[in-house]
Amino acid sequence: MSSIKKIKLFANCIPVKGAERSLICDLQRNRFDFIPNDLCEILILHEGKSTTEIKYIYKNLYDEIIDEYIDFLLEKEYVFFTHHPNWFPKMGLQWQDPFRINNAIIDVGENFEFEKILFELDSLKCKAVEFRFYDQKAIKIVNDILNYLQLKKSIISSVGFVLHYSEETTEHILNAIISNNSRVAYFVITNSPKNNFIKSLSNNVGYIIYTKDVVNDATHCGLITNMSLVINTKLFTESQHHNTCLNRKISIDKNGNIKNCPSMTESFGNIKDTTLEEALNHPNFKKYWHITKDQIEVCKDCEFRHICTDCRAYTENPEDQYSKPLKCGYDPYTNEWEEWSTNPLKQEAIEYYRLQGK
Amino acid sequence: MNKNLIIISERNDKSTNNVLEWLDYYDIDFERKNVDSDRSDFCIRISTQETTTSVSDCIVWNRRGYMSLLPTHLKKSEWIGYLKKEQFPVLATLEKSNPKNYIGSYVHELENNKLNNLQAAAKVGLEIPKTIVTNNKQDLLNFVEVNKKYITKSLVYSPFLEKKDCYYKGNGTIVVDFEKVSEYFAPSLIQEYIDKEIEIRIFFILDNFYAMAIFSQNDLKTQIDFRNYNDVSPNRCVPFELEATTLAKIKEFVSLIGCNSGSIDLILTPENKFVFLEINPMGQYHWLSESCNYYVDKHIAELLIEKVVYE
Repeated sequence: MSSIKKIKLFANCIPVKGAERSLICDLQRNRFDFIPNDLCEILILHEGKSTTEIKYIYKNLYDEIIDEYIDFLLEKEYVFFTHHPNWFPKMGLQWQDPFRINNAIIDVGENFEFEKILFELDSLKCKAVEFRFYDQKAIKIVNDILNYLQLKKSIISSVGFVLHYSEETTEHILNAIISNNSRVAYFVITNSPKNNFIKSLSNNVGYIIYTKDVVNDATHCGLITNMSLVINTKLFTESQHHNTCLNRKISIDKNGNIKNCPSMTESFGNIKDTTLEEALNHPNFKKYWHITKDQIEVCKDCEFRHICTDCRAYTENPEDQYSKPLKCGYDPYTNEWEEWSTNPLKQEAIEYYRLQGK
Repeated sequence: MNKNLIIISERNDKSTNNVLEWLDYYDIDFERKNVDSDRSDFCIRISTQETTTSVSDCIVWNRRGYMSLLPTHLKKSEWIGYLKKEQFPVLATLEKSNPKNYIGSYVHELENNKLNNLQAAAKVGLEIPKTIVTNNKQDLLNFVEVNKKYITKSLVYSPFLEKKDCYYKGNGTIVVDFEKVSEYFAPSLIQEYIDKEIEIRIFFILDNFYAMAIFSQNDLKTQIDFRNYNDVSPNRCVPFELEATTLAKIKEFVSLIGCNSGSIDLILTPENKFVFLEINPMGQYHWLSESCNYYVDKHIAELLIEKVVYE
């Protein structure tokens, strides 16, 4: 009995079943493979059994296919064979974080009081902050922010900047800022003449992305493409329990309104007269935090649901908080990626959010 | 009233930061002493009734290194070698003054004698590789069997060679090439090479044991020593559940050598036997915790809090 080895998935390679096909998410090597749903079923129902047993369960009608499947799984190192499948438990999918807020998006507007905002983010112990600028005079403020954080020995340890392309955003100038500030995680330079990716100069410091994407306000956000998928344990486990975009996030739009995300309409007060702490304690502030992909229409049938970053700001049905992200062009029932903005079924919502031509 | 919590570590130790973030989450006060920057004031009083020290009434987590008891100006003194030696019995007394509430141990790290550990492991019934320590080829050849592979590794300290403009550091395991062995050599530990199905890394702190399986055998680079990491396609590392009898032996072993935290390396042989290799009293656990999604940092914070609040 025990002389025959049983098949076992490596615990960090997790099958996710979709409507028409499935994924194996390799959370250790940060990649995925498509697998047919019948293989996903074999893995979910019959992990821990021997090949012979599995073939027998399918009445020995599919022996060759099953052999092919197993060859594929072995070649990709998704499975191994063992006499003791019970020695290899599944990986726990718990997600925990010691901070009440762990990321923030700050849109920089005209009356931007960065010291006040940074002081409050620091009090909340928010470690990662993204600043987005929608006009061209940004580098002075970038430097002011970084100098302030250094001076105050702030807990904010990872800062990203989204800036418009200008004569101030040369690789030379940005890299000089990066090498003086270990807090800089990245610069994204929008409205650039060409796309370019500049790697980090060394480990633990920031990278630069130049993109031709035109970004003039917060409506650019929320795009979901096959390039925006993230395959790691952190997101996969967070996705089991929380919303992967809004959980533990706080934002300030360019008018100073405190929100879940700058693209949303609901405000919890203005930074002029409301503290981030007060906004966070508002009874509605956390209402999206627990909306998981398993609860969202269409997404719940999508094989990418646990490696996706979601969007609750723009949804196909603006009245329904469980509706699919508007700016996702993927259809899990046909397995095709299409341009979201030209989809006739989305036009009503596009009009609702005034996203035409954006 | 809560006891004072002292954490001894190095400035850039990420695991310490993670645990402190959880302590902060639970709103627990602590004092962090970085061995590479802070001097620690201390005092030991010995009398006929009892010995009391600065840490006898505290909860201590000695995560990395040892408390630095010397003033900064003496650290560059030419007497530093002597002063450090004089410091060690003091550290040992500090640790021993509070055995129940002193978690982790620099004294163990310093005196981590593989021979003692192997004997203790054998005593509790764990399998160990056949081992010899000798300084001559004749005894070595009498020990080895033909067609078997043998490895050598350090007895206590990692090999370290300092030259004018560079240094060499090694902490791995190498296969013995008998053709290159001289007639006489410095005392060396030689062990039978154990075929691996997988390697098991266990981190433990007090009664919490966390095990991870490392599949190093699919990769030529990591067959002898998984520390020869393959970054492109890293060895599979997954949660492992130690069966009760082996776990019981491991627990007996750590209690026998008096260690309350550390990392243990085992091998699972193709014949499904667990073989004890070594223990590192201040081993890293970050890799294990992340790979298996164990949240060891959070658990450490919680067990420290339990001690701070209830002991």
